[in-house]
Amino acid sequence: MKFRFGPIRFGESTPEGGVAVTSQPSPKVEQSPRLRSPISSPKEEVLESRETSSERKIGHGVTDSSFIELVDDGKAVFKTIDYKAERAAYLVDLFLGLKLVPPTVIRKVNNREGSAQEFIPDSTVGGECSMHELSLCQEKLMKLWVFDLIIGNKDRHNGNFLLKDGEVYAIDNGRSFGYRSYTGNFRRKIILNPDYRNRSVGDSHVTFFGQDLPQNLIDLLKSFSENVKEQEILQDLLGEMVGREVARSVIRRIKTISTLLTKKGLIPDKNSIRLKS
Amino acid sequence: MKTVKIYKLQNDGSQKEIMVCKLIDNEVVCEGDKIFVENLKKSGIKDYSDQGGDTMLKPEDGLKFLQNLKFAFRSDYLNATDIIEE
Repeated sequence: MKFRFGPIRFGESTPEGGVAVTSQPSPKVEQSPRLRSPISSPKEEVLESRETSSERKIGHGVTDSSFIELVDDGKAVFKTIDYKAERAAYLVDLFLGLKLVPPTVIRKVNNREGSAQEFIPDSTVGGECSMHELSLCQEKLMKLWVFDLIIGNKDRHNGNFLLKDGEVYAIDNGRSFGYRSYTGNFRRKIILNPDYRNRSVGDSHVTFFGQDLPQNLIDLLKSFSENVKEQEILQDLLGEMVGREVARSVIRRIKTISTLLTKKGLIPDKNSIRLKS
Repeated sequence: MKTVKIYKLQNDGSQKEIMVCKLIDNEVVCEGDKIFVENLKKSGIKDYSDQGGDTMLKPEDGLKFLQNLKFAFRSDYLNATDIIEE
């Protein structure tokens, strides 16, 4: 079983083999109980429960993000725009076991509700990487591509994924799940990213249509598609973030892609994973 | 001169300027991190005014490219300023 219910106790061994932080969470923390999921990892627990020691605004343009530091260590990026989609993307990643999205929770900071995503220090933004560096992460980028198809991410480009120590991290997932950022509503059905057309590796948008995808990815999707209980839990959790219709759509797309990959090992074109209704 | 600056988030929460783009003779000229600038020239950015479309913009598109930088680079780790006059 990949997930556990109820918080992991501090100091307890983590599923990854590490040890959870030993200090207790601050009692003064501002939380959003309605939006807390029953699934919790030590990192989520830290992000969700520790009081902030500082907050610093990020950006000069259209973002509403801030860099927060937590009492007793821990850093995160906090945002109040598109934040439910950020959490939803993390949940999909978590349940599929792709390990692309840094732990992301919903909490309050200074009376504002938003998402807090673990900060990845010393990382390189995709746009700072050479072709050679990107080619070394080909399999991870393939996972990212499939992940974006699943969540209907309309805005993946080389400014919103990170590389560090051979790992790829998907950040800034707010424009996913058919999100209309100006109205705050979600479309009933997620759509495929129209940008995923025939662009080559090295461009800001990468497509892997027609290419063999990693067996590990296929196994992860298949495992999830065979586990009805996990599907139900994820659908419920996503429903709180993006609505029931969209949540159902995400689960169906995972299963559609999984079936296709199990049979063919690749996705021929975007029509092959278009939902029937 | 119309200018947009791109900043990258550092480990301490501060932001470091990694690229400056300026509108010169109706074309955008970018200077800064070599690979980043090259990648940007090659791949361009999405035209965020083209709702639902897939129009891409390159530096030679001038002001429109400059205007769209702040929408392309709005991630937590990398963000662009509005157009400023320098």
